[in-house]
Amino acid sequence: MGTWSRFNIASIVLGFGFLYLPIVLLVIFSFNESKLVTVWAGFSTKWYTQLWHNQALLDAAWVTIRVALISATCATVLGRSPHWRSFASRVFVVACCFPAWSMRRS
Amino acid sequence: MTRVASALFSRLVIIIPYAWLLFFFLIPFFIVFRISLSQTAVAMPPYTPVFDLFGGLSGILEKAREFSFDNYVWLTEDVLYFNAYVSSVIIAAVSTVLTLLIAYPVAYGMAKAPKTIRPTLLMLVILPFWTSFLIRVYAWIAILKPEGLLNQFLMSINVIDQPLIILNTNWAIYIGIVYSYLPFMVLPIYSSLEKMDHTLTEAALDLGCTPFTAFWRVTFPLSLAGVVAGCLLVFIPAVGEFVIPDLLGGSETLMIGKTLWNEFNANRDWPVSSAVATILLLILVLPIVYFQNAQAKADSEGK
Repeated sequence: MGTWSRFNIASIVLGFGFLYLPIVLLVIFSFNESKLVTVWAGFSTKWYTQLWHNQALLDAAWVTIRVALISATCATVLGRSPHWRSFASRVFVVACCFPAWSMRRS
Repeated sequence: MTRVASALFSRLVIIIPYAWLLFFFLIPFFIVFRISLSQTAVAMPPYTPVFDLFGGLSGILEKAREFSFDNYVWLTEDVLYFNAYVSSVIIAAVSTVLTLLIAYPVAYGMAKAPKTIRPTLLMLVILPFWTSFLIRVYAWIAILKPEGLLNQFLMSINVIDQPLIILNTNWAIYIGIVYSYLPFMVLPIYSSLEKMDHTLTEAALDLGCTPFTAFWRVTFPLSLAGVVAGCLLVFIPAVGEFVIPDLLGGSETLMIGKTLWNEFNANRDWPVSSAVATILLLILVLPIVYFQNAQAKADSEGK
């Protein structure tokens, strides 16, 4: 379209700012010396060191990666429906949304 | 031989979606519905009657007589459930409108962006899903609480001198839902705006429309399919939302997801919570059916 007005740019900046603010804050406060998320007590990488020595967490991360790989593979095979435009596939897509919505939380 | 094999294969491929629907939607739903007709019991599982598969047909029929709609009657007698349904629908509707108001300008800006950076912007909308939903909601607790980052910021620039109480109110729930479901609204609106022929807007402007009228009478109606899709993608899960009201909401917020969780876990009343879930599904099926019809209509008009 080529006509990117100031309003468009402002809404994109504000929208993405809203979307990324909590994530950026999480990253910043992961380098916090203090345990609190609201008080900045100086830069430190101690939480990352602790993470590296926490075997239970690393194991959990590995299980997560395996589960994700297997389920993504299965979903790709199952999701490749040949009749995307048919009514049945639409019902199917909507029905698939139910478990997807609930799985997103965990 | 290969033809037979490929015919067989295509049959099989068609069966998969139906099998999926059967095993992961219909059967679980009937299990829930069947529990909703039972009575609570201090037992394992905590309801009666429990079918004995080896008891023969007469045994099953005998036990099926114990089914009743008492739990549904109970739901109408206690005003708590009605209030929870109504307030869930209201909270979900307000959040959906707020999400739409924020998402539309973003999607519109994305669709107007130079072609080269559109894929990057699209990626940026999807990217938040790669961090845990729960962690992002926890981050909002840190931002919104009375001594949190938002209040620290507002007080340091002297906008307020008393901390705003946002956490544990309905406002926190609105913020949480709008934040969590924003991409679900942006993506369908963006895809319908991107497909739009922008010469139509130019024609409207040439023929004397003001930019706003051109937007309201040309662009917006053409993006309506995306708006409807986005609203339903936000509204439907928001009605049954449990995590956001539990973490961000206060004691005054009554949402059906939370009520259901309490019935199921705190009260251990599986039959009543199943009845709550069945009615919730019925409430949600109506917009889905409407959405399907609207979609089918839009498709047939497009052809």
